[in-house]
Amino acid sequence: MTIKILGSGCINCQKLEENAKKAVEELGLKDVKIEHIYDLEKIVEMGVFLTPAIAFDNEVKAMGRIPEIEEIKGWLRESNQS
Amino acid sequence: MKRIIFGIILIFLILGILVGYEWYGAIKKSHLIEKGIYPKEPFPITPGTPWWEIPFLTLFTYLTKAWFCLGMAFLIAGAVQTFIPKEMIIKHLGRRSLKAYFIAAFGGPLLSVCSCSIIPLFAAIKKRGAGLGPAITFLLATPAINPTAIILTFSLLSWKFVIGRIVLALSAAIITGAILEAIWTTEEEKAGVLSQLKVEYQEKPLNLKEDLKEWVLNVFDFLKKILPLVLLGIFIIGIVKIFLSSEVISKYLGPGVWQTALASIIGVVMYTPTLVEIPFVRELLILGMGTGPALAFLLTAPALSLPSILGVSRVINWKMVLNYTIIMWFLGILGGTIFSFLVPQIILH
Repeated sequence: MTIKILGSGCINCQKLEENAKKAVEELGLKDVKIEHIYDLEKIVEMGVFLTPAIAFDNEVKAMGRIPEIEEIKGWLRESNQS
Repeated sequence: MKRIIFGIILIFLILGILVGYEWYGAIKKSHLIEKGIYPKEPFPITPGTPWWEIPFLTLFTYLTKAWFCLGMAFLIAGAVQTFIPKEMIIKHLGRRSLKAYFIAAFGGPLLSVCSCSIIPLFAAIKKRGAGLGPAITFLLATPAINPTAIILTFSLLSWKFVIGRIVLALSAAIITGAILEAIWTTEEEKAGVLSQLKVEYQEKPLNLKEDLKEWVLNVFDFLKKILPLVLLGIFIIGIVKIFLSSEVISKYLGPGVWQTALASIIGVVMYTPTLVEIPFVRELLILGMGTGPALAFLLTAPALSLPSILGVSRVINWKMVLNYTIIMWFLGILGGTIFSFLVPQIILH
């Protein structure tokens, strides 16, 4: 699975990327990649209109806010079970 | 109780306290002046003040004058962020219609998104939502009339500028959006194939403890992001003040149509961090700026700046950007000139 961070590269988006990295690290997930998407065309195509946003593959989890590490961990656990 | 209703009550409560405080202060001051007592400026700048003290004195003067209003403004901005669901507004921008212009103009300011988030939202409204016109309206109205800017305008300038600013910014944003739509949208786009902005919106119940916590966090977030820029901006105004004389200001920015045109174009080119345009205009008004140029500047300075123009050029054709810049410049002149007839002079206190 790939975690996608969508945002134009402002401070908020970087903070979100950091949180996502920490969440993956703390859970010790090796097969999860993190990708940062800067391209506006692609961001809009994914149906995102508020940045920063976070998506697991193509499923948008949150937009327009910075989810806490714990919240991201929760999503990771959920998607690992299924 | 619904979350949004609680939020609206909270916002009006803070607004009431602020207006009460400001008016009480103004009435007290005018009573003193009637008795012949002129309240002393805590940090006066006189011709004998050493030049290097001027930026500091300017900053201190603003801090004593505006701390209450700034505090209240941030409380309100945080409440808007916490309690007004963005999805509710954006949902209505998903359809190509006349209504979308009004939602974009009135709702944009309520979104109070950070400046780096405006451009993605603009792109989304244009491509997947209501189309080019409302997207432009959103882009131009949002920075000019967000709640914080309105409150600071009320406190540092006057309620007349608040009304002038709201009326001009809303109408200019809608007119510019509609003109761009008419020039640039092709027939097949008008048929409405674009409308696909999907927004899910769930109403959250009010959870007083959690929501108030989120509110406080949002207020601190705004303070952290905006306050340093505002303080720096005011300090720079203090530096600029060293070089400006009232002769220069009344010549180039005094009352008059040409001066309004100049102020309007300065607003386009100059980058003013959010909220800083207000103390800047206050200083210029004290030095003899006309009310027309002041309003024109208040329209174009927040809505247009070179960095935002460059950012938007990545999403739409630069010719469109040039188009809307020129239209806004012209509307700034028109609005400023009308305003200068209605409000020829303003007394700041």
